[in-house]
Amino acid sequence: MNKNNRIKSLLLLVFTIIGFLFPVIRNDPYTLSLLLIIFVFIVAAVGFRLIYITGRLTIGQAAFMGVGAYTSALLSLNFGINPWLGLLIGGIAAGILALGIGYIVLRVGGVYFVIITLCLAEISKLFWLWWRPVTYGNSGLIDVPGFSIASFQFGINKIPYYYLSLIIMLVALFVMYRMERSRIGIALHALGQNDVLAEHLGINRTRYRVLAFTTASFFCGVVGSFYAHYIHFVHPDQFGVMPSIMIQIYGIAGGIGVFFGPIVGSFVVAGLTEFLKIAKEFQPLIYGPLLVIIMLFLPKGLIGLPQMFFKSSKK
Amino acid sequence: MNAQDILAMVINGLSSGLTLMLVALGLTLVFGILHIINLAHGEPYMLGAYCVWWLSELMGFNYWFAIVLAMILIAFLGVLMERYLFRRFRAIMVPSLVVSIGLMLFLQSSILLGTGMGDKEIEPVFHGQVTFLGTSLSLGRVIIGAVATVLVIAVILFLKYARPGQAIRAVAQDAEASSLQGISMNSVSRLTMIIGSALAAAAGGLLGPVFHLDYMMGFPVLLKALLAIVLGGMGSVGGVILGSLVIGLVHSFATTLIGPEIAEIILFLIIAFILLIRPSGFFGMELRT
Repeated sequence: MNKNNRIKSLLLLVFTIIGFLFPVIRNDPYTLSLLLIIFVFIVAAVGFRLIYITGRLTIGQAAFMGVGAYTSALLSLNFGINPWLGLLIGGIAAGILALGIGYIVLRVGGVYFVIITLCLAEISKLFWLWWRPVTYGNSGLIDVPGFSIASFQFGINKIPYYYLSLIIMLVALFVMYRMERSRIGIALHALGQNDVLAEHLGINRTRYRVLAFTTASFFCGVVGSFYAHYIHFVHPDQFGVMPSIMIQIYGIAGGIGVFFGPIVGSFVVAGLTEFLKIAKEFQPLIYGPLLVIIMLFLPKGLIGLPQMFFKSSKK
Repeated sequence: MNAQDILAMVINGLSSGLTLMLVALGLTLVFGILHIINLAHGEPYMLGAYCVWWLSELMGFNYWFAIVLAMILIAFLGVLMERYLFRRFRAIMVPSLVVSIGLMLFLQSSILLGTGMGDKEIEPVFHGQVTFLGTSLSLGRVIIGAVATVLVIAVILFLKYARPGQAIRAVAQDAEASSLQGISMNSVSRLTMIIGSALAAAAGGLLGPVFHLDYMMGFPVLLKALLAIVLGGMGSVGGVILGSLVIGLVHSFATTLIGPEIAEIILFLIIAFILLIRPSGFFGMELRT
């Protein structure tokens, strides 16, 4: 067990170093921008899993990305607030919203929660479309300012954005990982396995679920606002039901049972579609069967794949 | 605003509620039998519309014949989906949801791949207006509503009096007890998928001439059908009828009076509220007629 952990942390260290050195090895704007988007979705997918382990499946996380993106973009466009501050404010706005909604919504379980979060994703999109005087509805917000340090502007060069998203991702993953490994994490897992029993052991069901929901949504808000300042454009369609479903696909395809599942899932699924060079409209043609196949033959997700080979060769 | 406007809104609402009912009825039956929220249930609707477009516009069949043929084809597709996918995921929430999402994505993009992006329209069969109590209504809308009513009544009578229909209700009430009575679970779930897919395909074919065809057209309808069955109580047939009509009416009024986006927001908020105070809806779980 101890040896296993050591291998794991060594692997993590290697991957982190590769992550930091990547732009030095290969300074290719296309690859960098691909990785950058994958980092954004990794944060959302790991957050999705954090909610999932408490026994709640959400298809609405992109709504909180939207809240972060719109808050931060509107503040910087209308009041000239620094995007760095906007990252935090966007996250906090999403977090506060999640806190309020979570306290009401997380009491409902099972299929009903799925439907509510589906509604939530759709409401948020419709809301941005409807609030035309501020959000400009279907035309979206354009010319959202980018980041800058002193006089240095994050411009066409992708490298600063790459590092920023890498750092955001590492911080988010660190916090969520520590959370799951702490006493809180044990409580969250207990809720997922049997919430009535957990409550009898003194774990407040709603409070712990709200904690997970708020944490995940806070980071969704942060990456949402990062995304807005990175592509300089915010549109309601970026945060509807489809992106929420994508987050779920990344999480489940990789393997929802372990912390690193959604990370593997994001890399493999996003990388695969990019590698196959499929037009955006036809990507679901891959995702759909992939989901079905994983559910039929790989209930543990892609991360269970090596384990399966290992076991079958042992026999 | 005068009485005629109100009447027009009521009739529009009833008409869209009735077509919504066709989709929602299948969704609620599948939930009652297989305990699956079939998020791919908007796709039989979309495929129905495309099928009718293909048969009547490209192959030159009669519109009504095309609808019947589309219903049969889509029902067959439903049988395949039940046999190879949904049956395995009976009453397992997360995998069944994921599988239905996968199916939804696959069917949507394969239609896009097969038919391309261009505009597709089904030539309306009925033109002109009818005047009813001083309000002029489009004839097409009235006929759509009438056909939908006939189909819904037929399904209800089937569930109430035909032996296979009674078997469906028995399984919905207690799956274990009814299999002890010799009712085959698999044939009942196949039958519900046949009914559900065929009804949704009929709705798609009927509404095809009203809207442009679009490979994403199934999803908004699916959301509304979900709202309708949540409102009426998941798995309840009587509830779905009421729920669809309420959704249709509220949507029609709110769209005319306040605006299209806020109308949808209001609908979703109402449903979220209902789920919070009474998760089982107004008619409970039981599959009743």
